Amino acid sequence: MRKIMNFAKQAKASIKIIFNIPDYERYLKHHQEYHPGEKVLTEKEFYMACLKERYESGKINRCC
Amino acid sequence: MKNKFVSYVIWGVIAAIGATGFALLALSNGEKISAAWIIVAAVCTYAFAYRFYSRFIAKKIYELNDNRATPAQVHNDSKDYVPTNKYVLFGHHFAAIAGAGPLVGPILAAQMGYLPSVIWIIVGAVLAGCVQDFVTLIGSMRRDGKSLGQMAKDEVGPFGGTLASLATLAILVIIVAVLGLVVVKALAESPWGMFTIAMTMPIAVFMGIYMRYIRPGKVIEGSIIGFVLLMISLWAGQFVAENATLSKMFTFTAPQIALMMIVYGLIASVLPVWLLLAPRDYLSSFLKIGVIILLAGGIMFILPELKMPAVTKFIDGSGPVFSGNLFPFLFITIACGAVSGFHSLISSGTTPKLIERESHAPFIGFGGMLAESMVAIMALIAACSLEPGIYFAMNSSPAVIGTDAAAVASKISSWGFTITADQITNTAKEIGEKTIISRTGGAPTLAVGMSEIFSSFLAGAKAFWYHFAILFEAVFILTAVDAGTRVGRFMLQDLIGNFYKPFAQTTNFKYNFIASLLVCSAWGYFLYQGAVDPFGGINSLWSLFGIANQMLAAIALAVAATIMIKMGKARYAWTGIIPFAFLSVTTLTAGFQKAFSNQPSIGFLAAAKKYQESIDQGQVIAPAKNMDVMHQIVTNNYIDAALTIIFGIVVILMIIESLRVWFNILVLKRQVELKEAPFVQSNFGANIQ
Repeated sequence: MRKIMNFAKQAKASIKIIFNIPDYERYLKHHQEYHPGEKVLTEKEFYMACLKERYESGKINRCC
Repeated sequence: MKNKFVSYVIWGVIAAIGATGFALLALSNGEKISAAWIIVAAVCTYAFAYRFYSRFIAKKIYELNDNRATPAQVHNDSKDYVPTNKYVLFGHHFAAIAGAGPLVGPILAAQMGYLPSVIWIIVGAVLAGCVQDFVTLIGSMRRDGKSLGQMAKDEVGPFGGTLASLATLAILVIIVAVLGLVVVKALAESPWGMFTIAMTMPIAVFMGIYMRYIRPGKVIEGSIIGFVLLMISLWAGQFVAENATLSKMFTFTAPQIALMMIVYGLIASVLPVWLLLAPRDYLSSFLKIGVIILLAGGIMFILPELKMPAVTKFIDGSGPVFSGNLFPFLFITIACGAVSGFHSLISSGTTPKLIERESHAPFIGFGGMLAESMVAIMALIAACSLEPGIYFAMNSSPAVIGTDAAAVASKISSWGFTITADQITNTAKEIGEKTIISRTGGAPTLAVGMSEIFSSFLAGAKAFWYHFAILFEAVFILTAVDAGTRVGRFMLQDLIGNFYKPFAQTTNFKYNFIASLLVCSAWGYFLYQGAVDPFGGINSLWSLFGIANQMLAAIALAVAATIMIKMGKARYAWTGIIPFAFLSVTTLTAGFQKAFSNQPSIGFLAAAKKYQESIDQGQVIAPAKNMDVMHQIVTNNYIDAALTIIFGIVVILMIIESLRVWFNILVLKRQVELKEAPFVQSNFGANIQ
């Protein structure tokens, strides 16, 4: 059971990378590890920040 | 020793099977042949190229080294820079490079028969496309993920950098226009299609609200709900088409849809991204990958017979889909599936920041393009497995074949592709459309091909699958229009900011709006021009796009060759110089012919002259219906000619600039500095999460 749960979790994380979906869990983990004590964004704030970065930075992230 | 021998035998067998595939395709001599042979030829060549050519470039030129830390290891921030599993990153990269381009190009090129396209898609991918994507990825990976423009500036010079930026902006405008035209052509006079596309907007807005307020950040959940709603509206579309009043409400002509699209583009580009752009982008990405997998599975399962001849008489330049000889026009019509300059922007975008080890680069850069090339092969198979008469009825402009089914059938039969009026009207009925005549742009043809494949492979009516395919392409393209306008706005603000500082402020609503307006008018002009063009629009726009895209590829390859020479690997720089030279010759020849050919069907200036002369004599010539259209044709042709000439000048300047740098290094032995990021020792484990 645990194996299946783990696999599902990994699959979800992979899908998020493939399709450029903001991964809040990864952000939390990174935050705890490297920036403990600093202000943490809520999931909503994080999502909005990621969208802003992706579409409103003038970067090309897809093809024709 | 023994292992090496076994390996030689295996690769010898793969090479032999691939060669047999090519031989059978080339020598089919009028007999019908299975699409399986195209797949065999492609897969064997890909495997061989991946094993030997990508490894050659990786080892001999770049000496890829896992002890050298990648940007993802050095800057790991769990956000932009994340060491990513090789297969997951392949998926990410492929999802970013795959799009409508590789699906449309091969369909247009199918008019010359399947053989020229098969050869160019496969050989072009291996020698040009894969090399470009791969070496650009490595270049960026060794420079902290710098963009192509920055690399051109650092390694070739500021002038080279400006050329790369200019080429990027030009290609962006043209691509949005031509993709927009593909959608316009697919939705014109199609209430079912129009209704479903219209429904995607409220659905996306609902998803946007869901993902922001109801369940913040839950993108997968929101997308599943969106997908279900989308399928419901797709199913409901048939009732809209059957109902007289509703059907009228959703029936529009091409110019009307083009105008709607321009207004939509302007509104969408100032809406907040979370509301429409982002949710639909996710939906379209899922749809895109799903459809590509489904199409590949269907073709593998059915292995359809190729009904199109290996080579048609239209290689002489007289084709009804686009005019111009096999060389150079095949090589610019099929851009994305063989080599696409746009990929160099992706390869120097997010992918180099996610790569975990240097040794993963061949799989992701080279392998990703091989997969893209396979997508183009699938699209070609879908088009060539249709009855050729149906293919030509769908893709020829009314100026060539007329508008009445009986007339169309006799015209196309006279070319040697026998077809009856009944077959044409029945095909339209089967897919739930009023007509299939002159549904140019590639998307409807692909959709008919996909509906044939899906309905026999899965189940369901052809009409449903036809509109599913149209929906998938339209959703994807509308997202590209929206995102393309935004990126174009930034680039324009940056560019004008050089002359007038305040314009570069991207937080200022006034300047944002002005820049959006300028970008929308730029692509909108070409889109509208294409929609009202009595010749169908694709004929002129797609070649402009092809020239722009291949021009960018030539620039990327010139940058790569320069980097190789600066690395002291001049003896291997042919890997970049050969495709660079080929693409330069192709784009220059195509550009020259498009501008200056004395045949009005090819040359923009010749066409302008022909219509101007008639105007001077007060005569209206077909397919124009009145003097206004005549004047329009003249103006459009002058603008297209000017743009083509500008593209040609950019290519020539890039050639001169590269040669100057190469001459300095190789002949004058000037010392030049390679602007790579410093070497950092990789420590595996510690950095990888």
